[in-house]
Amino acid sequence: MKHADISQSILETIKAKKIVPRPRWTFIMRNNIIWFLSILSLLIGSAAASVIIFMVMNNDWGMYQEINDNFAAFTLLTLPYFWLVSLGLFVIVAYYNIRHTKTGYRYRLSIITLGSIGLSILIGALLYQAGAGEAIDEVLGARAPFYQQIINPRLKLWSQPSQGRLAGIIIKINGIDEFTLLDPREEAWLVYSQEAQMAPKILINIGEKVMVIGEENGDKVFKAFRIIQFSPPGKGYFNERLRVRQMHESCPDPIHACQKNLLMMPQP
Amino acid sequence: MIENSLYAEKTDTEIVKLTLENQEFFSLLIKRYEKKLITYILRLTKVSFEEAEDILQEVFIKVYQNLNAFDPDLKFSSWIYRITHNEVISHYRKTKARPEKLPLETEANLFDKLASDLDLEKDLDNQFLRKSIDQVLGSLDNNFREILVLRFFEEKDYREMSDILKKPMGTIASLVNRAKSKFKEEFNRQRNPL
Repeated sequence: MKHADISQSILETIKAKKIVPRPRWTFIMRNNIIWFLSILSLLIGSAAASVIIFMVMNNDWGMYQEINDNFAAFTLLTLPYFWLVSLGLFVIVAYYNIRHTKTGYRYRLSIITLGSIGLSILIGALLYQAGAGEAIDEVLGARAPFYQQIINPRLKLWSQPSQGRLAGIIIKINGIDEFTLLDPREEAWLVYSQEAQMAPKILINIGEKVMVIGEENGDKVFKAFRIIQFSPPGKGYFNERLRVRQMHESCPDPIHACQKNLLMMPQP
Repeated sequence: MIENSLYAEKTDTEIVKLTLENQEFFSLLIKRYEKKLITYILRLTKVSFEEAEDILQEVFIKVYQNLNAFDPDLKFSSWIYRITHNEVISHYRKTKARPEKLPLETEANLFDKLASDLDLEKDLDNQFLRKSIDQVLGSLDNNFREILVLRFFEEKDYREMSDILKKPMGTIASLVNRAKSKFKEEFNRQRNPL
């Protein structure tokens, strides 16, 4: 084909195939969708950052020696990996979307990544201040099936009675120095608190979440030396277990009536 | 048919606007870019001239279909080169056609520019030097080859290369340096095989 014919040939093809320029709105919409997805990724990343801040601020820093003598080891054991990985994933998604905006390709990977992380942490800090971190943790604690195993490893660390650590929610007061504690594995423990040192402002009431340092004293029996208030991450998890337990205990017909009452039971 | 000479002073962006009103104006853009782009296509692939024309036709059809996506903040030449680059990559993936040498009509001064920039041996006969450059370019990795073709044979600056390849300018600068190192390494290796 000669050079002179190319333009004619192309125009003829365009006319024959009735090719028309795509409307401008399709490109505007595509750009807007990409920006929307970028912002959404950043916001979800920020939500993850707010939970990370919440869990780190409420970690057992003052009691790390109860879990591990080595502070660095304790830190590695209790880091909120699920949320850190989530934050990482959404930063990657945000990077991908930003890169595909009109001018996003002009910025280096390091700038977009660090910028996304920085912005997520900044917005995350604001969300944390507004209580979003705690709220998200509570909802997931109540609903997520893998909460104890993956999202909040702290619960597992405090569910080691053979190591002298027990945490849970008080489900029954048996006597002056006795109460029943439901642990994260939903096992009920009889706790003797006669000789226990109690943290200030702690109340031994049904629904109270506590950490108990002591020793096993028989099958599902625990002798307490210290009782401390359980700090917030995991509150929703325990509340939900208490609610379900109370519902089953109060329901003669285990399946149908319990399901009907599920929504009517008050939260502890 | 639109008379080319009447619109010679019009910028690419103005012709794009005219094309969106009247399809016939597209021939002006085709005439402005067909030679440059077909040479670029041939420099990047091992296809025959006829195949290159087929690729060129696809390029212009895509350009026409996406005219409303053209952002006047960008140089039109960068935009059309970007579409050509993508189309060539797509064709390369389908056929695995690798270039062995640059098309013969590549101007001698472009070879001189590359030779000078890389400080290649000046005692070589021009014809021999050109042949050596050809061989070395043909043996380079596709990414490095493309970078050197854009820089030295299409004479694009870093900003244009950034817009064509959709990579940050810093990355382009690194790629150019790495491509030049690779080229020199391979050039010396081919000149001194032992």
